[in-house]
Amino acid sequence: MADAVRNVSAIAKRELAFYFGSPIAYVAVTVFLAICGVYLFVVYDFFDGNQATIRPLIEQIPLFFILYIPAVTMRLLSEEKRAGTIELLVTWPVTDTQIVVGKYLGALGILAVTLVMSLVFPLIVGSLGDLDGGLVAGGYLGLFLLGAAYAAMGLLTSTWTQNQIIAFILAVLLCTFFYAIDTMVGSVWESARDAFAALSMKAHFANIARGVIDTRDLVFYATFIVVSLVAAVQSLQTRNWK
Amino acid sequence: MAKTSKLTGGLYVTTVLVATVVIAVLVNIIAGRLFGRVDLTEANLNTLSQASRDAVRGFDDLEVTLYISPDFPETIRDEAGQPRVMRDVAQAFRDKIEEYRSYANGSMTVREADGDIVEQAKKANLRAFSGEEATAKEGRLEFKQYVLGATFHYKDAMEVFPLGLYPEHYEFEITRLLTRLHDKVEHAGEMEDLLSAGKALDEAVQACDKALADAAPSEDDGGANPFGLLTADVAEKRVGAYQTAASDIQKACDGLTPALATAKARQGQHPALDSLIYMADAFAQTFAQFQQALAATEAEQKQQALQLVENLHAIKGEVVAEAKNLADSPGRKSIGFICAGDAFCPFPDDTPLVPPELAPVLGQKNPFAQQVVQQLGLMQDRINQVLGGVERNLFRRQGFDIAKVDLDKPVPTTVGGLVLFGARSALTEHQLYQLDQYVLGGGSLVVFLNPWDVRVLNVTPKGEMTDTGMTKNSSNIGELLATWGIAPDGGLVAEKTDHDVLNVLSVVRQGQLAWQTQRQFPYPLLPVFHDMATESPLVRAIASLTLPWVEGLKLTDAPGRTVTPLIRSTASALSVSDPSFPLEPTAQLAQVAGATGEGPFVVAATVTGELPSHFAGKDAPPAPASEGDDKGEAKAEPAVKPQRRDKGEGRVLVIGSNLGLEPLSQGTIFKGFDLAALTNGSFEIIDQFQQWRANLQNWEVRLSQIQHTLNDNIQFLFNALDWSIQQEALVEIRSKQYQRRPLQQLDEGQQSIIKVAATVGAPLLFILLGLIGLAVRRGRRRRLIASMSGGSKA
Repeated sequence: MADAVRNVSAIAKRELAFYFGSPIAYVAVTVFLAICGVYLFVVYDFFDGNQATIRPLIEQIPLFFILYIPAVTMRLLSEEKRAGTIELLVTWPVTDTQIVVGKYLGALGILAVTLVMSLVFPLIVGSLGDLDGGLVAGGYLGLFLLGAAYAAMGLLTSTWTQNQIIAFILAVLLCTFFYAIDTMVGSVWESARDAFAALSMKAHFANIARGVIDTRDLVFYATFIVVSLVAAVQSLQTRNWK
Repeated sequence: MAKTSKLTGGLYVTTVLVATVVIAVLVNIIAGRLFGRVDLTEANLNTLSQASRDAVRGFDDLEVTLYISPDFPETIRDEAGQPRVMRDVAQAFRDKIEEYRSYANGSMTVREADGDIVEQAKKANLRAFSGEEATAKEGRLEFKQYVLGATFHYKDAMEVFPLGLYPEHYEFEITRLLTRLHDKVEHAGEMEDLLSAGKALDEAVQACDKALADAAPSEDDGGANPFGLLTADVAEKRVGAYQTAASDIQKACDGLTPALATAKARQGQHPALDSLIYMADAFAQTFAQFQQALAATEAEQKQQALQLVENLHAIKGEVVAEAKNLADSPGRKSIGFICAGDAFCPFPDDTPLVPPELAPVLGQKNPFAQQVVQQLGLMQDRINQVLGGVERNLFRRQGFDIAKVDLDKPVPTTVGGLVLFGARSALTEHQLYQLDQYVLGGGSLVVFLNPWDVRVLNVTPKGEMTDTGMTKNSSNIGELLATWGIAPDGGLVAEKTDHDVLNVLSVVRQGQLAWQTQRQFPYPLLPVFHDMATESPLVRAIASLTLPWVEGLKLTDAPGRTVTPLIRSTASALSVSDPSFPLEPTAQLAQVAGATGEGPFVVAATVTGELPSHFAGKDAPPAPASEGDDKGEAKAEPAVKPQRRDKGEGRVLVIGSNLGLEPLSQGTIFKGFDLAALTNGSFEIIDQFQQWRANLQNWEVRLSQIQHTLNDNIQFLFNALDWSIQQEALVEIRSKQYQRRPLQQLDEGQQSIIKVAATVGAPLLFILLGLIGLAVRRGRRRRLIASMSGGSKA
């Protein structure tokens, strides 16, 4: 067990070191912050609303994440596959599960840094009015869970191909699908919309974004992540097929 | 690593994935049944308040039926025609009901209606709404209808949540309905005989009406033609059907007379029963006329019977409505608006100023008089239209049951609290005495003061907008309030910087062209208040409030009573009591800017606890002579009541402003109206008429000047009304749903700095962190290389 933790942690650190040792993370996070700032203060026109709230931004970030998270995760395994380093990796005493979990934790690290950096917006708004801290906490927890689910999907698609761009496009499509599955299915099959709402990231995010931590939403995200990671492990193992 | 075959690998992967998905689905299903929630918001915005939990726990067997259209629309158009996303609204409604159920300790059952839900919901008195989906039917567009609401059943009583389109209001509405349902059942025993008499009467009328409908169903004869008229054949056929079924109809209607007699024996005990009796009596009389017409030999009279049947169906509808009103009345507390002292009295008055039969006679004496009477009728219609709108939209639709209170008579027991809104003139001593005794008897009184008549730019009778000035109103309510520790100080509060704008209608001339336009001017006499008592649910959720023409209050504490200031001005505020104070915006600003601050002033306060009587040690003022006295039929009795109190527990809320709702009534508009002057042929009536017309115009002008401040004020008004009927719990819930968190006021330059800091500064900060990290790493690497090369040299 201790070995497994050590292995997973080593892989996660390696991922983080790669991101922050190169301009990738800085460019990605900087662009993300700029988009958030422009949205809140220019597009949404925060001062016109005259309310000390960042809920409009929190409700918009899931859409930004649809592009942002796949951009972060697209290289996780596809690049290893393309460069052949995946074979080097498996020569270490690590299992496929440890590789997937380690890579995933690395992506979560980027997600966490991104969200921490974006706290600058609630800080600014809080300095201008009486911000509801609980709503911000709920919103950020929701964003982390949603981002984690996207990252799991991004990791899964990066196991399917050696091409980062293809992995990115597939992840974007998958994230979009699961974000608005109820709306998409509902537009062609009205009566099935409610059933598909149970699979919708947006529906589960809406509760958390308004400050309600509901165990049903937490379980949904947790199981979604687990299913995606199990699928990623299984996908990685297909390279051993004859 | 050993390679596995594709088949084996594929089977293994499929098995693992299917098992994982199945486990995940099962876990989610279990989590859906055993769930918990934590509300992180500061004011627990998403959690049922204690009042709501208590309300639902008060039932031992509550049944809730949900009416939710299965194919709920994605969007609808709201009242303003704007698209409104409805996606999660139905789920939010179910969730809220579920939340109540979870606190009901197993005593609440919820079922969802199925089948033709819209039809069932309409029968249960729910309101349907239209989506954007429409189908063409017989050459016209028919919009699809949906429902979202519920009925709450407890014992024999029912309450309806007719339409729930706004999730933010769910808790307030549901808790209000539950409280009402509980009160209704609890107090039903107190008026059991009245309710059973009313029910019997309602059933008798419905049985009679049904017999009439069954005797000649309209669909049997093809019904009326497109213009609603019956052909002679059809009419004859129908009359024949009624004649054939005459004995059955008579038998079905036999119960009407005894039911009416039983109800009439209880007449005068409850206004709702009286209204029901009135309508049922009208039904009985119309039925008697119908029978006479049917028995007549002349064809014309027989035709009349058909019209009478239509009337009977219409009256039956009224009877049903009145019976429902009676059934709903147990435990219902209304809010009494005192219609005295030129106060705002939101009830239309249909009594014509000039009796219609007199109008032609007046025309013969004075040709102008007839025109004046005509114009007065139009003005009366306008006033009634406005008052009816206010009564309906501002109060009844918001769930407030309001009643007109005449202080010259005893306050009805169904009145839960009294409101004196913006009285401009003095109440009689007896009216003050009635108020005094009502409060000391444990009643609640809400007073909105109206200290000064401020004419910023009024219309003169000649139609010129030149009338300006301020005059002190002659209301004497302050004397009574001072006895209880809240004394109006007589001055208007003016804020130097925290003030709203005044809309002024002005005429712009450019060459030959002239047009009217509205301009806004900062106005110190429209002060904005931010200092609210956070411990009071009345104001704690209101971040700021503009109180037009507001008077300061001097508070005095005394043992046994608690005086609580609710709203305060800033320290730099002034008190204005000089009638020559400038009302022209620029001059007013200049005058206020140079003055020294005299604040803070309290402008709203409550007093609760043991209050002394204003009339302690004095004789009780006599009641006014009743109408009978004028005729010399009875002598006025002094209003000395055996239960007269010199002190008692009461609660009073005083607000130093009328919130901008200037009193409107026939009394205030048609001041000095004298029917005799109209009949004597004097031409002075023209001048008087011009004054009345100007009065109505000025009411509209004044409202338009401060209309923009009303929205926030109305929220406060609703809180005050809930407080008056001791429903603080509802005030709490309302406060929760209307939490506002306004931003600090920044000028455009400051806003731009923050925008730039947020959009450019935050990313730059991160890049800076990155560069620092890079520099540190390079330095570390350089040092490592240096130490390695140094080591190798060594």
